[in-house]
Amino acid sequence: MTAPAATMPADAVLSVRGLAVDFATRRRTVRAVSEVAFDLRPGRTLGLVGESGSGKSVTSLALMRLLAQPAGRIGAGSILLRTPDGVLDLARLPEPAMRRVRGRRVAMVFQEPMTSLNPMLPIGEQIAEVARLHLGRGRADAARDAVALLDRVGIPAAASRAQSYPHELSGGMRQRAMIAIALACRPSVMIADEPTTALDVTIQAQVLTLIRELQDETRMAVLFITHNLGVVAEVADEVAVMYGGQFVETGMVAEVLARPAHPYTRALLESLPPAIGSAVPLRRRLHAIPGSVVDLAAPPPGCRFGPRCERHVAACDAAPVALDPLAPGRAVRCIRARETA
Amino acid sequence: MLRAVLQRLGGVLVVMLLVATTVFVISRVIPGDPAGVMLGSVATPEDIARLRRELGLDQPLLTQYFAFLGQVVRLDLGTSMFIGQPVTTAMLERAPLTLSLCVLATVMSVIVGLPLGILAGVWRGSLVDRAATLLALGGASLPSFWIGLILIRFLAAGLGWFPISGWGEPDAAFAERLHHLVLPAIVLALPNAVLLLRTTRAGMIEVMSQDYVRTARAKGLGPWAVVVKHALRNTLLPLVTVIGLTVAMLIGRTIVAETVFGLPGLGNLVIGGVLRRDYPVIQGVLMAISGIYVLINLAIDLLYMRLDPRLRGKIA
Repeated sequence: MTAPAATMPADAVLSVRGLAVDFATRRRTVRAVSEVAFDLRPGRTLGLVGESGSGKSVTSLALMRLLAQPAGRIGAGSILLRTPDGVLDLARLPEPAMRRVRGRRVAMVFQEPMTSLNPMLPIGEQIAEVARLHLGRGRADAARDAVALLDRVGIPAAASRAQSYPHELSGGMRQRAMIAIALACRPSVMIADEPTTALDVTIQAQVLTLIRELQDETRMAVLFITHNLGVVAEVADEVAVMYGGQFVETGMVAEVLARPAHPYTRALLESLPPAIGSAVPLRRRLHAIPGSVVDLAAPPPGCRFGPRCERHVAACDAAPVALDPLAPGRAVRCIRARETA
Repeated sequence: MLRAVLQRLGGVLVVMLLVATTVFVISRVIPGDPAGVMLGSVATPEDIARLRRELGLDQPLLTQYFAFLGQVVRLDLGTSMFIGQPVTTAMLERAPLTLSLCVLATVMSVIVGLPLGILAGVWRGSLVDRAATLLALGGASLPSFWIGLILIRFLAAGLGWFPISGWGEPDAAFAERLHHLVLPAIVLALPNAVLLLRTTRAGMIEVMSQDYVRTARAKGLGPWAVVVKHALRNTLLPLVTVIGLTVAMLIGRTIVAETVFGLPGLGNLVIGGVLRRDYPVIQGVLMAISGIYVLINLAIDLLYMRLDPRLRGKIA
């Protein structure tokens, strides 16, 4: 299934275009994610930021075609993946072929290392089964590979740890084991869905460093999902800010964090506590965004952030707002973005 | 692990002592003199007094109690005057039939309940699920004796596929014995299959939404590996419990099946014993059923430790 190559930049390994995800409830269908488009490049990290319910995780599950069945489905768009066998459109790939992509070409690290590992299987086996499945490795070889991977992700005494069950490992160790599972087949894309959210801050830093190192070694592209702008600043090259199921701002991380063009991005940055030692007085009152997340079952006719926006004007509600390319590699979904630019 | 096993075995001994004590107390507090009951209304007071002496009923209660415990330890459960046999011998003679019946019923209930439960749980709301739920409802609401009679009426008397009752000639071959046991085993298996189906379904529904099942899918595993290797393994604990308890209950439920199908098993012995107030038989069977119950629970505990790595090495 070869897709038109024109829609995929030559240097990208994964290109998403016009992605929409629908969830069917008993009465109607809700479009949880719409108009999502981005490219992932080898060795680069795209940070996907947004608050709970903004559609980050739904987007990542759609890429893996792991949306909750039978309610969720991809409503529109394409997910082009470059593989040695040509370009595949994951949005249209039959399920058996999709299974050869999962874990082999695109691997995923989930948020909760406590619950994402199978409590009844030793972690070595949970790593080895991926290599046996996709790479056709024998039992002994795969087990040896698993130990090497555990060692690589920084688990001490890897050979004996491979026999351990998840409950015998700490949270940080479990997340390292999850990363080892994801790495087992040297995928070209790794999706990390809030991989450090459940961990202590010091362990968080170690895991982020590990992902960075592994990425430099394997040249894999990383889609890093988080609600934490601090983490984005640390790991990502580019960032996409999501609100109400849509990208509201995209660009290089340094650029977006230094000069946010969308009022939502700005509000997110203002609601961060200031770093110790920064120029901002520590006792400044934290900024909170008024109102609550948009109801996707009945989105407002105009800008989805409009009702909560400080810079809201009547024109904002007139029609849906398109993503406006301000500069190469930079886009904003705000009709007033150019006023301030 | 060994320490845990020994500790559990110690627990079993304590429970069995309590059971023996309870059996003893009950046999002494129920109204009526056992000797009088055994000899019937025509017995003379002299006869009764002689039997009381023979049975040791004229001794102090504590002496009787320890004598009883001594008998139990030696597996001597007394002699029934009605059947003219030691109770242990009578039970051992009838045990093979009842145990075969229980094994066959359990195998049937697992073969039917487990796969249907898995399918219904994985494909929740599908046609399979609805059919399984309907079967479960029927199986749970129809009484065993009625199902037994219906099976006899249609499959045995009507179509002649199975014998109507009995256990065949004393020297019958294994296959013929099995043939006699099919219908009673179905009667026993049905409620167990239903319970197992429901437990499996509920367990699968819960487990299929767990994060580690999503992880298994994200690895690219096919539906078979996801369900059997990753999901089913995590539902095994409640299933082992249910299977164990239903087996334990089977021992009691065989009474109905053996009566309906005229099988000379333990259940038959119990019914006879109760109707005749044959105390040694009732006591013996009570002890045996309690023992089996306790042993099955022990087996469940040990299986738990074997199956769940989180319980290994822990002594609860």
